[in-house]
Amino acid sequence: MANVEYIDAHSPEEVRRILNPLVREWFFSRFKDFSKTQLYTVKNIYDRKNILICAPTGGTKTLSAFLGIINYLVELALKKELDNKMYAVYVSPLKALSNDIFVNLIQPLREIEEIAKKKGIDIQEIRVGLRTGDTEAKERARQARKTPHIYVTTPESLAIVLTSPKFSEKIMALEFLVVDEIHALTNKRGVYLSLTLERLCHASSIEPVRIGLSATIAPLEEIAKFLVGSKRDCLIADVKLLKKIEIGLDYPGENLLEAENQTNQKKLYHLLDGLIEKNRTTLIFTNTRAATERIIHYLDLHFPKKYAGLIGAHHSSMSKEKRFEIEEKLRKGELKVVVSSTSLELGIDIGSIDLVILLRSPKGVARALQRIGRAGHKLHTNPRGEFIVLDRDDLIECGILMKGMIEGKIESTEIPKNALDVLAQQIFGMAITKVWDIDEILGVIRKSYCYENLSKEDFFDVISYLAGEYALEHRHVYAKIWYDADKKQIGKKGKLARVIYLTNIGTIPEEGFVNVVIQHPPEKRGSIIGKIDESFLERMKKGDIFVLGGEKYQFLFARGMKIYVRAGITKNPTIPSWFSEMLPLNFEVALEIGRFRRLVKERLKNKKECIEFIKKHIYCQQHIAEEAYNYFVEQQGFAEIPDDKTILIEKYKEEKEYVVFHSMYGRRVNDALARAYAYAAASFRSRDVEMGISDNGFFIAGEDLDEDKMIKAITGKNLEEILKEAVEKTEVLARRFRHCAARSLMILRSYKGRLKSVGKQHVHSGFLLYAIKKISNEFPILREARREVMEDLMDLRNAKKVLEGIEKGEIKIKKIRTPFVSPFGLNLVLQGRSDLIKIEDRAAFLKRMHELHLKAIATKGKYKQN
Amino acid sequence: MEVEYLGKCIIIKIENKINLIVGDLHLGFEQALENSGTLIGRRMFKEMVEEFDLIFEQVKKRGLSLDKVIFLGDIKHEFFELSQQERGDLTKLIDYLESKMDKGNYKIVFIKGNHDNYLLNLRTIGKVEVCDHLIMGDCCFLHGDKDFVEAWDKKINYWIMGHLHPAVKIKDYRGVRVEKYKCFLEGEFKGKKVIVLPSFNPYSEGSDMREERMDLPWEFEVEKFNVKIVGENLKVLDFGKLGKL
Repeated sequence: MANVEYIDAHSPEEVRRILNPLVREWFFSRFKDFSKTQLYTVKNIYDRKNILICAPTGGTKTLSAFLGIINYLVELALKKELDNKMYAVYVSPLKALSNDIFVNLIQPLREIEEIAKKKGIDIQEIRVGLRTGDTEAKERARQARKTPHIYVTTPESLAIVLTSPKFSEKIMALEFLVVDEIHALTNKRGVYLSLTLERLCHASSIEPVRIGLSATIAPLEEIAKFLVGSKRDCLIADVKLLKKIEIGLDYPGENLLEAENQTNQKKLYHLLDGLIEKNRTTLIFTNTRAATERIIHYLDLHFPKKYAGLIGAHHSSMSKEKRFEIEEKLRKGELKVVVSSTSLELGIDIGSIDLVILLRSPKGVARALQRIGRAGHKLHTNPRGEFIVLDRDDLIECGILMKGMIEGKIESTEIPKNALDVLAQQIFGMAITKVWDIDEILGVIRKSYCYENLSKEDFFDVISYLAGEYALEHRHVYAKIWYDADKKQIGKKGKLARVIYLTNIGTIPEEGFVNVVIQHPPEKRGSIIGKIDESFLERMKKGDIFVLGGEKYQFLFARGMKIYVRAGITKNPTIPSWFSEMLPLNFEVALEIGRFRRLVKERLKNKKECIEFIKKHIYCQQHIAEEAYNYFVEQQGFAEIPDDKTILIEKYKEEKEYVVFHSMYGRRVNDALARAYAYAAASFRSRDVEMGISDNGFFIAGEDLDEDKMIKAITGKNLEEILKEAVEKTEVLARRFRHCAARSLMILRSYKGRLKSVGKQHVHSGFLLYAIKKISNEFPILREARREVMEDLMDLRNAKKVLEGIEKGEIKIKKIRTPFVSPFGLNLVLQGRSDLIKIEDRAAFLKRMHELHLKAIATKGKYKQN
Repeated sequence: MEVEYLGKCIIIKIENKINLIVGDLHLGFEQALENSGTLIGRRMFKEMVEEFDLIFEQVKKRGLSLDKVIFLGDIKHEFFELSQQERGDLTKLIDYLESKMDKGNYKIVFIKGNHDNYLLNLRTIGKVEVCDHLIMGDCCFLHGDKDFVEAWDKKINYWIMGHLHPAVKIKDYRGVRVEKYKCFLEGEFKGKKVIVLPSFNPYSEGSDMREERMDLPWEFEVEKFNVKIVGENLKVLDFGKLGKL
């Protein structure tokens, strides 16, 4: 049975002893001593043990992983025993690797060669090869001639080279496998990689040692199993560096980011300016692209010319070149401040940042640590960060995150299991390389931790899909593989199989985006101002006003993949902004916030004592604690503060009835609860019901809602079943199905040599779902979309826990009926609808609308007669 | 001339002859999708036949004897070829239509649309009358992608066309729910009465003319056109003027 074990550091002497004299000399010419991380890892890698290394950013992780490998290769090179084969494969999710690899791998190797040369020692060259999506054909050809001993690549490129027979020869005896930034792979991309690694190990006659490098993440046991797969042992080096985190929290006043009030805005930007002024280089995280642009715009507005040339933006929708330029400027220290949405969170060395400002909550402790870890990237400087919160909910949330950071309490991550879309793509890839016995291929798949419990039924359903069996009479068109049930074998089908696989590899969904183009005023006609999600467009009707990039536009008409709008609108938006890019608040952090609320509530009577408690609990300053205290008092004065053991329900009526649940569980749990309750409410009266969710709660809106009946209808036991029904009737399933269809190669980005933009291969996602349901309601990729919605997008497991808590009476539900919406409820309702539960069928809806239309005509007629 | 609505089709009586008119079919749509890399199965033709069955059943029930079945163009989908699926489905369609005749009582007419290139490569096309447009009595049947002088003949009062795939978004009073339905559009243009048929293809949802630019050689004032939505059981519901919806 697989064993996961935490280990201690070795003594410097133990590590020193294993190093080859040449490597030892090089090492101590560059460093005074081994880093703590190196003491944990170098000897274990030398001893060929699987190991997961968890250390904060800047903990010399990369070199720690490579030192043992370099040492081994140098020994071989000295003995002239280096073969023309790959000894180590290094995989990182980051594409911009070259700088990091140069510092941690190429430069050390060159310096060691130098030392050898000086001493007149003859040594073979140790080759490093880099292969990413950007690697040129010339370099690839060079690698084919002279095999790199250490192969540096990305998950996608690794999957590509795996299908090449030549590559397979070179990794026949692979010895080391390094996975960097493994904390960023707890998603379908990681699931994909886990299968790629199994394929790699299956192709190699030696079982390579696996080395995982991770920033702070929890639970480490889970990540270790993810790294090594099922039934393999793994050591865990949880390196706690003595770096002290310097973190603060400040609050310039309510709602400053969106405020049109000049004086308030001034406060925020002067605060930012002050912080930037005091530091050499500052990095600001904003969560969204729009906010990134806004900050830059206003800093420039408030301090004309001061930031010209010294400020840069960095977000994922910028071009690669533009981003690279900013990174380069950062490394050279040419920028005073950089504003990023989330794109600078990960790995690549960006030089010395003195301060990281977190504008708005990063929604999780691990993420917050990752972000502030970007400051003081050098080994001996402390990471410094500052939360700047813009409203008081954010203040409490960031306070709790700060507590988690200081106390080292990291929320736990989950890795998707048994994802059938990823599986389909991988089986197809495997079938390309050879003919497989069905038990052999299933065996390899089940070695991955993400598929260790894969059922035979699911596996064979995917095989059926790939073999075209769902398309019945048109099997030949749809079959990607052949499956011989008698011989129990599978293999590839069609001459294009390899090309299709190579050009459509990957798991990151392409959203259907529509360009927004200005039609009015004429002087701006034709300029593209941005993109919106196709599903957002589906909801829009002519004349609607929406916000994009902080500006308001009116929708005029659509044509193809463009929508035409009128700019310079002053009226209020008629539809809420799109929130799909929001990060969800982690459930455990949400519970901590709930607990904090409860503890404060118990102390609310004694102001002084309470403020002291707040200060101690979330490690904040006096004025922050006072602000938090006042907020709680206000909230208590209105009704009751919802906490981890109290859900508050607020009901009021406008044109419709609104039931607002204040439930502090994070949006993934709230999403599951909201849909289940909304579905119950919709079923009672066979009418569509709207719902909206946030991290702090959710609302349901419809005609005549009976909240008691709703609450009784949903239990921990029936939640899954009801949610499954509810999801069928929402817009989100169609959207996710489209992603899954792309991952499982039902929709190809590139086909027959033609690269398709999402626009060109555009098929309405609702239609796609309709067509597939006609084929089979249990189509495996459709089942995967349902699983993704319930388990990855929502948090079914913890939602169940909450419902069980309600049933056992551990969580109390308190109801208030209000004449109008409370300020806390308003925040929630203003965020707008997330989805609609369509219970009324299309025909019934049409009939009802027709009757209304006839009635309207009849009354108009009467009016005229009078 | 008398018009009766039957699902997505119309029955027109001209000079005592009864004709069934059908909008855009886009046969071969699925293979075209496959060629662009989207695999969705091939059920469309079967669904169309099911719908034709219902229509012919009604025709029979009413004791009508058809003179012509007229397709208003875009019978097939691919611009640049006669694809394998198109070839197969077109042949099956013609066979089907022939099977519905008693004693060869009606003619099949294909009016060529902008998608209907290479239609003549079909071996069985001889059984069908293929034309650019068709004039009967005061009615002109056309696809709608191009203008031509004959349409402006004084004696013509009606233009019956397809091409636009009209549909309309219906929303409830707060715009909470929005659904799109296929519809007929009826209006006037320079003295001619215009009827635009919805596409017959069950896989194309159609376009709301208020939101999408019309690809037409004429400037219809579409807001003033009447909307007739195709509902359940071949029923058609009148929703008044498009501009007032």
